[in-house]
Amino acid sequence: MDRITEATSYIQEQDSSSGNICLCTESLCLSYGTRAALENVNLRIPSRAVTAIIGPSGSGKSSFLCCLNRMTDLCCSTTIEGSVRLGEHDIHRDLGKNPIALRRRVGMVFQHPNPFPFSIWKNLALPLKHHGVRNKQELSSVIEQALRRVGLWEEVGDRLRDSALTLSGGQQQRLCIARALVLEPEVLLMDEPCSSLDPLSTKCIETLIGQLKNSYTIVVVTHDLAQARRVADHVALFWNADGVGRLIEQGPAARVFQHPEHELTTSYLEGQL
Amino acid sequence: MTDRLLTWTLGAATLMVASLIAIIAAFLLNESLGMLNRVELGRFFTDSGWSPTMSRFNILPMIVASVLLMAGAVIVAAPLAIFTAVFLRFYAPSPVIDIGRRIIEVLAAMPSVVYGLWGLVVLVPIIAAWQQPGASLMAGILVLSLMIFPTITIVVHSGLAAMPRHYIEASQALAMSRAYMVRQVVLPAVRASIAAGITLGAARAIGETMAVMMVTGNIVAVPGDLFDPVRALTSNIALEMAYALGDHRGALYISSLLLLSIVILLVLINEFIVSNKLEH
Repeated sequence: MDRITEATSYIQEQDSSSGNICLCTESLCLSYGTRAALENVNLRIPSRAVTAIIGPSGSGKSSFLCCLNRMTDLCCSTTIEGSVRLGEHDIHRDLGKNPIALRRRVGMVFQHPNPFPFSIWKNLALPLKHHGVRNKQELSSVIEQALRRVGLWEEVGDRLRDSALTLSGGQQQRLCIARALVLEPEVLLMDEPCSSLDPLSTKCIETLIGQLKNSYTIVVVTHDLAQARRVADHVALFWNADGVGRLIEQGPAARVFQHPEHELTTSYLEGQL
Repeated sequence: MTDRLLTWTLGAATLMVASLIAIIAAFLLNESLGMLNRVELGRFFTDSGWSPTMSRFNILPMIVASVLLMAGAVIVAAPLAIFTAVFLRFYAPSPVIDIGRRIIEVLAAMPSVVYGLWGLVVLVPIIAAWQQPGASLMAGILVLSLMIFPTITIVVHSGLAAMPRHYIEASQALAMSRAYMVRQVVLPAVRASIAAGITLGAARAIGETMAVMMVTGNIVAVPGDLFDPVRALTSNIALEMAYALGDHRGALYISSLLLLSIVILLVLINEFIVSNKLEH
């Protein structure tokens, strides 16, 4: 355990100098009921870059992601200690009881594509209408823009009234990304966005991530080390130590992949664990 | 081998139930046809009144009464039932959910004669104090809405419970308020359950006999307003079948056939609503 703490503090020193930090967590602990899921996570997520969260199953990667937009609120038995800071704000204390304002700034894409069982148009129009865009022309132009950004306009632009459920898995996932982007969030959280997609769709989404990072801060959880190597600018490795998820190493992707500081990282990257 | 056996057993059971419905429909048709050969169909709507022993067969007032009772009960009960189901699924604290569901299950299973008794002893006098005679279309609508409310609630609630959780997660992640999510995502997503609940409720309302007979006054006339007494098609059959003979009996069979047709029509409308994409 000492090694873990040592590595964490070393990394903090090393990374504090790099770029603008968009999101950071301090001593973040999460538990479901009495079961601890995350302990003492201090992660710094740089702006306008892709941070990949890697690690084995059960290391708390997805739970961590859910802390960042307070999706953890959906389970009533969760307790969170420590803090998550988005820019100047502590998302639990400063943004109050209602997480709506936070979720406008921090969008999320899930492991399985989850379009609503409505038309493509309505999927994108619903969040826009809720946040005040009522003018039909404005809706049309924002929706077209969102679909173009994820490369769907050429494929579905002429059938926006069709049910979103008629799209292929990869198209559905890109629609979900477009839907998350129509609210112009600052951060996009992606929880294993390609794990249920075929290689072609995966490549498409990865290319998209590469384009989006110029405008958004992206945090992507992935099981796939090769994917992390392809898309990530920064990497954080989570580990399950004694049943609790911990962050054991973080840093620029090139550094972590080539010169890991922690023994566990070395073994994990070499596929020995 | 076991699979084939199972297929045959299940098939036989299905066939038996399906043919039962066909047998009942055929029986009603057969009984009605004799009457229809003697009496022109139009007379059931144009005769000067309902005096079957004197060969006057106008059942129109009773059709109107039955349809009004059904429509009124659905209009009163459906919104309440949908609100209740949404409340129990999304707003109620967990102890309330359990108690609420138990109560609704008991309400759904309560014998209709109990509803009728309550309506007769409690509701009719209250309405009578307001406007005479008390036993009326209004009393029928209120008792029926009480009866179909739990039916609709249970069907809609199970639709809400079966709705994929990821619709809720997606709505929350898109910064939707709970009210907006319920209105724009949840209710449209379960519209098939809502349609099914309303269809079942409406079918129960139009088919209900005992409770309706106890509170509506059973006078054969097209009601002028909500406080007039009416006689439903079902009540008419139950009241007169015991002594009806010849053409009188035939007219009651025709009434039954009509009720069956209305229920089939309701199911078809439901099918149409569910299969038709109600996108704007």
